[in-house]
Amino acid sequence: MKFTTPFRALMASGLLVMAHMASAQVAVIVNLKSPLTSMTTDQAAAIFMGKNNTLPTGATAVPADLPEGSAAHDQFYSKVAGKTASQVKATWARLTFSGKATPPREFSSSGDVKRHVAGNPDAIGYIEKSALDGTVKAVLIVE
Amino acid sequence: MTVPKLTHLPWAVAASVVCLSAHAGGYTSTDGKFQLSGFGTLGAVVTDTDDEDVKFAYAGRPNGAATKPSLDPDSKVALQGTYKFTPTVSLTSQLLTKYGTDASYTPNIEWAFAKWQVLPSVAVRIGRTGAPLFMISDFRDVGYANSFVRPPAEVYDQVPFSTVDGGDITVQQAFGPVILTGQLWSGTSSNLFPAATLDVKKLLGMNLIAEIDGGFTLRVGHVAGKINYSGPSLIALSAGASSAQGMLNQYAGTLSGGAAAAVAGYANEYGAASALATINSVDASFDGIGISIDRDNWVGSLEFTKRKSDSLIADSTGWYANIGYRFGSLTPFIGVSKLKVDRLDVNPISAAADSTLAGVASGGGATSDQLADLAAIRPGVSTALQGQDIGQSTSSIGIRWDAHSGLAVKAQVDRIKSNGYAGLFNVSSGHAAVSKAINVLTVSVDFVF
Repeated sequence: MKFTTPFRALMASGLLVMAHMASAQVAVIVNLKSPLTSMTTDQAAAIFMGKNNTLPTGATAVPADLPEGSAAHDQFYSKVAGKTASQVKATWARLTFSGKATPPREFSSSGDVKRHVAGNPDAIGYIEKSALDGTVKAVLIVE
Repeated sequence: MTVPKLTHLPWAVAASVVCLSAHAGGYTSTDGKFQLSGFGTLGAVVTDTDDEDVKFAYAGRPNGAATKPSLDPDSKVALQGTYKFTPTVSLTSQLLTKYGTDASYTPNIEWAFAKWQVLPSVAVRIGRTGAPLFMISDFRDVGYANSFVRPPAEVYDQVPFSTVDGGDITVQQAFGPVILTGQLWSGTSSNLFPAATLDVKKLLGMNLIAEIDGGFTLRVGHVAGKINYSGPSLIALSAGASSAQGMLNQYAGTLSGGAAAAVAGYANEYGAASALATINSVDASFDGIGISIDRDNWVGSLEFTKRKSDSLIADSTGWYANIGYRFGSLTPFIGVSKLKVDRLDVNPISAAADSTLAGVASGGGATSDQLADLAAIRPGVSTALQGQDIGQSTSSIGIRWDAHSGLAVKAQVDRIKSNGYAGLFNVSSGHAAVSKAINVLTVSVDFVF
C-alpha cells in the first residue's frame, strides 16, 4: 500500500485499528475439571457485573478480570454486558462501597488469567480467543 | 487516644487524586484474600447569597459555603479493606474522613462488620454497617457512583445518622427476570454534635428491593426506633420551663376561683413546653419508596420519603426526581427535590403566661438575672421550633464528565428556595427568615481506586 499524504496514512491506520478492535474475539474460560460446557452471555454478565456470585454449577465463582483499556476487557463488557468501561467501574463502585461484593481480581495479561483459571476449579475468566490453549476450557465465544 | 484533627484535608485529597489515579483498581494481596480500595471527592461550593450569614452545608454540619467558596461541604476521602477468610466469611472496614459536626476532618470508622454468606442466597452481617434508610444509603458518600454531586439534601438530610451498630440478614432470590432482595436490620445509632448527643435505639427496619432486567430497580423501606436527644440548651430549656411551672402552681395555690384556674392554666403551658423540650425515648419512624433507572443511555432516580416522630422534631416529607442522558463520557442531568414540613409544634407558652410569670417572679423578689432567665424561656421554645421549619425546594442542573478511569469531574447548579424559616441553610440563632432563592454552584472531582 502506498499513501500519498500522511493524513491518508493516518486515516487508513485508524480504520485498520478500528477494524481490528471490532473483530477481536473473546473467549470465556473455566477450569478443565469444571463440569460446565457452555454458558450464555447473560450468565457471564451476571457474574462479572456482580449480580450473581455462583456458577451455573452452584459453586461460588472466582472470577478473573483483565485491565480496563485492554482490547479484551472493553470488548467483553460491551458485548456481554452492554456496558462501557466507565459504566462497569461505576457499577462496581456501588457494589464495593456498599459492602455487597468485591470486584473480580484483576490480572495483567491473558497468560496470567489462564494460569489462575487452570489452578482453580471454580475460576472463570475471559481472554482473547487467539490466546486459547489446552490449559483451560472455553465455554462461550464472544464475537 | 487523641484523634488527629485535620484542617487541610482537601489538599490531602487533591494529592491522593493525583497519586491514585495512576493506580486505579485498588490493591489485592497476592493470595487474593485482602482487597483495599477507596474513594474520595474534592469539591468546591460557592453561592450567590447577598447575606454572608446564610451558609450552605449538609444538615447538622457547621459553617459552610457562601460567596466565599468552601471545600468543606463535599470534600472527603475513604479507605475500605476487605479480608476474606474463606469464600463465604469476610471482614470489611471503612474509614471515612469528611468535615464533621465538630468542624474538623476527623477520621471515622464508618463500617466494621463481619459477613457470612450462609447460603448463596442468604447473607448475615454483624457489626457497624451503613444505615440502609435510603435508595443509595450505602454509597451516598461515593460521588463517583452517582450522577449528581451529592444526594439531594431534601431527602438525605432528614436523618442525621448514616451508620448503625447491629446486624442484618439479607435474602436474595431470582424470579425469572427479577432479582428480589429482602433485608431485615436492627441496631442502634448515635451521632455526636458539638454540644449535643443524639441516640437512636431499638432500630428495626425492613427493605424490599426488586432489580428488574432492563435496568430498573424498585425499593420500599421502613424503619422504626426510639430517639434520645440531649443538648445543653434543650435541657436548660426543659428545666427552666419545669421550674416556671412550679412557681406558677405555687402562686395559683395562694389564689382562689377563676384567678387560680387561670394561673394553673399558665403553669400547664410551661409544663407542656418542658415536655416538648424533653426528647427521651420518643417513637420515630422513616419510610421510603424509590425507583432507579439505568437503561440504554438514560440514568435517573426518584425517591419519596416520610419522617415521623412524637417530639418537637418536625414530621416531614422529602422527595426528589432526576434524569440524565449519557453522551459518551458526558452525562448532563436535571433534577428537582422538595422537603415539606408536615407537622410543626406551636409554642405552648402564651404571652399572658409569660407576663404572669414575670410578675410572680418579681413579686417574689427574683434577681434581674433570674428574671432574664425566666423571660428567655418562651422565646427559647420559639427558636427551637423555628429551627425545625426546614422546608425547602431545589431545582438542579449539572453535568458529569467521565474524564479518566475511576475519575469523574462534575459541575452542578442548584437553585434552593426556603419554604420555611431558613430551609437547610446554616444561619445563626436569631437570624431573619431566608426568603430569597439562593443559587449554589458546585464543582467536584470524584474518584475511586
